[in-house]
Amino acid sequence: MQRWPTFIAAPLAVLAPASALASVYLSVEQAQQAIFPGATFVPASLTLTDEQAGAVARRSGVRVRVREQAVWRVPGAGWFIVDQVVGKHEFITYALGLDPSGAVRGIEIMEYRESYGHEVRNAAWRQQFLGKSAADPLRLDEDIRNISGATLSCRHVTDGVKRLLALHEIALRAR
Amino acid sequence: MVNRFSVLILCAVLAAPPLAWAGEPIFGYSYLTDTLPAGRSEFEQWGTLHTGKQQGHFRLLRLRSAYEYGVTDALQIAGYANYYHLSANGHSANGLTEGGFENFVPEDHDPNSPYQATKLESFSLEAIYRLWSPYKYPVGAGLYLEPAWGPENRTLEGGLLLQSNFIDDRLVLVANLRFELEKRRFAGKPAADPADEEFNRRWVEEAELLYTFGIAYRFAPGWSAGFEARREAEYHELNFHRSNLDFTFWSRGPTLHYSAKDWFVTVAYQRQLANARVYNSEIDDWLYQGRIYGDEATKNELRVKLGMYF
Repeated sequence: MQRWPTFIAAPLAVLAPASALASVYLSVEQAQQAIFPGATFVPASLTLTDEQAGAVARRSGVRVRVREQAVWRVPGAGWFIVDQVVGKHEFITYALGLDPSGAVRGIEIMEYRESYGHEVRNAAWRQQFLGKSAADPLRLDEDIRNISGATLSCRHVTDGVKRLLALHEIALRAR
Repeated sequence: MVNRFSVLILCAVLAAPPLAWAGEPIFGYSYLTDTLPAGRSEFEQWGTLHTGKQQGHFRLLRLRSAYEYGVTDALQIAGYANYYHLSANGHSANGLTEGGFENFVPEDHDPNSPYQATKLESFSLEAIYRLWSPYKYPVGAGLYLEPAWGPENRTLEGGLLLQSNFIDDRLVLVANLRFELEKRRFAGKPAADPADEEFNRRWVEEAELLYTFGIAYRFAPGWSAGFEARREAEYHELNFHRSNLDFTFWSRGPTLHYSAKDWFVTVAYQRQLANARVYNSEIDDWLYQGRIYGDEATKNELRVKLGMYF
């Protein structure tokens, strides 16, 4: 068996594994206070029935990946929802606040572990969602501006918000 | 009439440089249309091990060190150093240690003795331009171009990259249509008749068409598993006229990819199918039990890619 020349191994040494620390920006409590400062939160999580999941998917045009949804009622102010969407490698965790009419009051990125696309955390990009409701198209490059270089994250977060707005119409509004 | 000189040409077309990669490689042999975001960099180290000739010993490790940079969000450029280590003994169809349009075993080597060498193959530059993102359109598309310069070779690669994503972008389908034009410099055979062309140092031209197809699914956060197939067609001139076609073959195999936030690793295995076809009767001996074994072409290829983002 011949020994491989050392110069072959040298470039590999450059690739000593880097740490892949998760980027957790906000806890649930911090996200709650960011969107509904000073409010109280009443747990109201739900599991969508087959019928509800199908209705949400049809209404939003977005696939319902999981039926369980972490939801808090905010008495007198609306709803607070924690959701996950698929990122390039990991899930993106975000929180959405809705007012009693079902319009977006705020959106916060809680966890983002991707190599690229952190721009979805920018306040200017997230502000585009304020006031949006299930009646809005929520399409990238139409009423939601894309961030070049972060297209996958922008699209999945936009789709996630669209799905939650449909969920509000179908499963929360009547509660 | 096709002589051994022509055989060497065929050897050469089997030794095409490995495909480069756009962005994060969830496949071993196919490009995605993803490019690095503007201002971001990536270092990649590739190793491709070729093993399994019809006889003898042959172990070729082709290596590539790459630095990639996002000029804009849709344009990525890269620079590569391509090098290899070869250990061979009696691997050719005639039982000798010879053959190699790409000079893995140079012409002036004594074919009756083992051969071992570590060499720089070439430096190459690459540009990849994404036309449509698969995250915004049903089919993403991109173009790439890669010229290479080496002490004994000049190549120009190019191609069209296609990609479609499904199921929240976790299922990825990809197809690459790629061409390569190449010139290789032969060392000349001291033992040949001085009147014969093989005696002299000279340049030889060839061309290749390569199609790759892949499917991969992200089955867990950070993890993708898939399957790739590729078809290679080799020509002994710098064009793709049917009359110049020497042979075709298919290979296929699984891929596994893991990506963390700042680094990734991809492992891909390819096994040549036993349905190769030779269109040039002069090189029938390169076909053995349905497979092509010229130059670095082997039954098995194992490719590993390691990468780090900056």
